[in-house]
Amino acid sequence: MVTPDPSTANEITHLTGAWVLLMSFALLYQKRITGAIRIFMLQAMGVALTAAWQGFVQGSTHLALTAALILLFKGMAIPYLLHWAVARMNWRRESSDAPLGVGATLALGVGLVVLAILLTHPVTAASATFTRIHLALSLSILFLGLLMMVSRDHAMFQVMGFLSLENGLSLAGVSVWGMPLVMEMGVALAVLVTVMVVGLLVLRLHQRFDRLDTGHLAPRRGENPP
Amino acid sequence: MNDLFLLQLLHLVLALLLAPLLTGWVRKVKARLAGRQGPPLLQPYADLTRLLRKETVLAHNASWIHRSAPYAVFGATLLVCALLPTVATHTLLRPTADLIAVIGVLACGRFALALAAMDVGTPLGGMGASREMMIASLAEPAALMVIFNLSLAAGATSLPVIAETVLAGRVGLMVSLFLALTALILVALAETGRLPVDHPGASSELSMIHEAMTLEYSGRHLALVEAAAMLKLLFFLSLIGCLFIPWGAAVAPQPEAAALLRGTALHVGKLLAGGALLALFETALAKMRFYRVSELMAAALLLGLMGALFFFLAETW
Repeated sequence: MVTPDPSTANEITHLTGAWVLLMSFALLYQKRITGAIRIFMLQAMGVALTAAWQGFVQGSTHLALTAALILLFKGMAIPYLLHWAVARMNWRRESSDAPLGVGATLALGVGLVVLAILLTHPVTAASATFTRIHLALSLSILFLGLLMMVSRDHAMFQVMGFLSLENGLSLAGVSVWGMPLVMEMGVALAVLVTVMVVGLLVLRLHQRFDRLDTGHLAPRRGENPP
Repeated sequence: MNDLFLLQLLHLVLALLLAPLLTGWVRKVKARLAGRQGPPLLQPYADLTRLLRKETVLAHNASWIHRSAPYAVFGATLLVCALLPTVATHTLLRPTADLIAVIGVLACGRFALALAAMDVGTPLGGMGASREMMIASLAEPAALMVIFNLSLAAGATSLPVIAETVLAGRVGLMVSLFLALTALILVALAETGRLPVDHPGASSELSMIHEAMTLEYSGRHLALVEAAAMLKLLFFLSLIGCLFIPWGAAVAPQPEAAALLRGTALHVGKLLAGGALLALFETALAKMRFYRVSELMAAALLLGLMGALFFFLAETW
């Protein structure tokens, strides 16, 4: 098997990583639910591609298997299920405005990217440029997922935020040398379980209030209504 | 000296010849994607020659601004097209091919057209001009952020130097370049009036942006304005091509004929591929509300900013 030279290999990994980050940004920008699911799918495919490429470079079957799992679950099964649920519940027209406004949310996102860079830099000062950039990318994606979760009122968009956050974790995992498959499997399983639990919650929310706006939960917690 | 001049002339003539072809190609691909036959590939050439032959009709109150603006727009756009190092990087105007200057010259052309649109005093012209200016004021900061990104990487704002830096390849720039490319694509869509922002060839005056400014023009004036719009599309596709995928451009100070031929062929190939992608993109998208354009441009600006941030991470502190 021909292995590409390390610098080209790293550049391609950075490219796919940047794609995943771009999709996180697009998710923050997106207002429509079907569009958000599609973006999540593209993001998961980016992670799968990164894993597959790293598997090829490192010659590791574990990583190749991880790539296949990511593609199967997050690139196909979860988006398919979400689309199915959306069609089934007639949520196709659901959309969610960012309460802060898209521009401000994206600006906050860039602020979080700065934070990620500042956080990773001292830790990785001794390591290679590749690790430094890749860790910063992954942490940025994680932060952007968190931002998505706190900046939207709509329950489905919060789920998308969580899922994209997990994509950031996967991205960090697949580019490290010697990440055991059992770890990856555990995380994948946890995500699947979480999606189910959150799905149940979303369903309850829908049945109870006929809406997916989590703002309706505020009075139940003894807070002021929105 | 003589060689440099000939090379520059080659760039100029190529831009003039290829611009209508590119527009025809994009229209053709779009028509095919929509299941239509579409106009012939060479239709834009026929349109332009027809307009050039036709009589020019002017409004009663049209001043010299209205009459001279088409020449200004056309001249400015042709100049920036000729400055791009698409086929070879060593040309006569190499020292002047600065990215900031190029954006400035383009802005001059746009300013002339907006002024001319308001000159006659029709409401649609004024509306088109104000919309165009709003989009331009949003797109330019984003464009400057992209330039900032590229000049950080190359250490210069000169187009040929940036192209040569990307050709030489440097470690750790991929993230920055990718984000800058995405931002530049968004800027290009807004600046050339393509689909999520403006509808090229719109038929309703109320939704027009660029076309609304040209409503009062006819004959050779209209031909020049339309040719300028075609050149602008060519400019942005060539800009993306020569900054981010400069492979194929001849970098030697005295390039051989074979290298030039290869460069030209690759340039045309890049344009055709870019045009096809643009057509595909436009077919998949709907026009966005005018007031959402600011969000799109904010996204472009922030992507450019993020690219610059990752650039600093690639450098060793």
